[in-house]
Amino acid sequence: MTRERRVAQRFLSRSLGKGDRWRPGVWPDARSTPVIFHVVVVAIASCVWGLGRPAMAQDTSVTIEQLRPPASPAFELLGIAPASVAQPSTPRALAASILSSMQDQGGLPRNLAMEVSPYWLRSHPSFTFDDQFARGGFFHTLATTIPESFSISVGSTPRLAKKDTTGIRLAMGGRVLLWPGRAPRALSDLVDRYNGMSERCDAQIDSHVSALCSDSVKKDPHWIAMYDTIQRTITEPIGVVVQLAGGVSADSPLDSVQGVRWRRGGVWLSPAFRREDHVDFLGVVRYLHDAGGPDSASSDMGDIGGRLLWNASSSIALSAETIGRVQRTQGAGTMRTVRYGGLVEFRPVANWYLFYAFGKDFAAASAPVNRLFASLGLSVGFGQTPRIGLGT
Amino acid sequence: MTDIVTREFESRVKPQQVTLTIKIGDGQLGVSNMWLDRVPLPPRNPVDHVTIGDGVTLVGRTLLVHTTVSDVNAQTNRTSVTYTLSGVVGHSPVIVTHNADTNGEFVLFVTTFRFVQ
Repeated sequence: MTRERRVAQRFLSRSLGKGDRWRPGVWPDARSTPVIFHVVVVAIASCVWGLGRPAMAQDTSVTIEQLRPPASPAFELLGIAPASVAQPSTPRALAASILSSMQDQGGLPRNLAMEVSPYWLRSHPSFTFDDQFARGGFFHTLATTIPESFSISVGSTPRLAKKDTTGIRLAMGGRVLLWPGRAPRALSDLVDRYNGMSERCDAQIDSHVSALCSDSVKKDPHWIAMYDTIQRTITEPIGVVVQLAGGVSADSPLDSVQGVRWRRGGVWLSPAFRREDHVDFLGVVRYLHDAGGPDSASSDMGDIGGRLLWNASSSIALSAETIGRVQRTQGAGTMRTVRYGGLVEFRPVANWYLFYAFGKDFAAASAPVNRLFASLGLSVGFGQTPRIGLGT
Repeated sequence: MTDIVTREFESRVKPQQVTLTIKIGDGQLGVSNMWLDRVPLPPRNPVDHVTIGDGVTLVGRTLLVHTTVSDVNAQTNRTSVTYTLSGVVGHSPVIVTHNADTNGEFVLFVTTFRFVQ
């Protein structure tokens, strides 16, 4: 794997989990399948009681997963998912990215998408593998984790406002891991076994023989499986994990710094707690402000929620979640509503998931009574389990 | 393909025990093996204040260290090894760095310390 998208992938995997694996407790409508292709072959009993009017002006299908801190807050605020994101890994590359984006456009960049992790712009010989987890006391962990995990995202896109297609929309966001969690007990044994394999090659006094041995180890399925497990374990720490993200966006109707007007802002906070005995709690807090514009009213929205997940066995998971929302829209007043529900998942075989979800959805301006919902589905995944490229 | 990074250093010893500590940086994993005049020293990982010998007896001898680092940190392809020799004069610790080509790649650091008086 190249440097591209690494920072975002690490955050994504910490927040969303890998796309190829069973992610129990993730609601069917929030299931992200970026790598393996899933098809819901059965979706029945999707019932609506109450008003029976599914069309709603606001987003009422939001789930806990969708409220977690986004990998790139700037892109989230712009509502874009850029296909290509510049991720400079050296100060020189960062300077080149900034200069090229400005020069290409002759002014403010119109399609900028860049993510930078300042800490990783240079080498850190004192940052060890174990420093990725909480250890050495509260302040030591904070001092290690916050700079290491901090990333900045910057984006721009052409402004699309009614009767006005000139100008651009810019956004900047940041994201940080406030508390990293601790390493699972199994990781130490895993790392020892992993190191043991490379130690055998390393013991060859002829460096070229040693290097050839290492090359052959990399093709060993046992080593590859161990590498994958280590990667997965790194991204799923045990104990308390707290993430924070925030960002702002602004409109520039004149395509320059003149006349810039703040448009949106958001803050995301996600405290989570995972136990090694398969119990998982996730909390989310999100606040979004939209200053409005020529074609929309200003609004504020606050969400707070939590999900409790129990992996009853390797193939059965139960979860319950609730989200409370307060929304104030200029001219429409304030609305308070709650969504809650439960989810039962059964995985009879790999890549086959049978799920049953039930609960009550948010109310909305056009549907002021909460809708009950229930759905039963079967999701089938096709394709190979993806693996990080190990080179040749 | 595993990259080989070769470095040689001359270490002026003091009349005391010489120990070596090796730290794998940049959030990566690694292991080391050592040879003193091509005779292997007992493998001991992590290498933390491992005694190489008395400074006086080490004069004229060569310590060869192999450190194989695996790029497991998804945040960076940088790899670095810090060698800290105690009982020597100057240039300690020594930091050697290298950029791995891809994630999951091995980098073999071959570092030689020649002990002089």
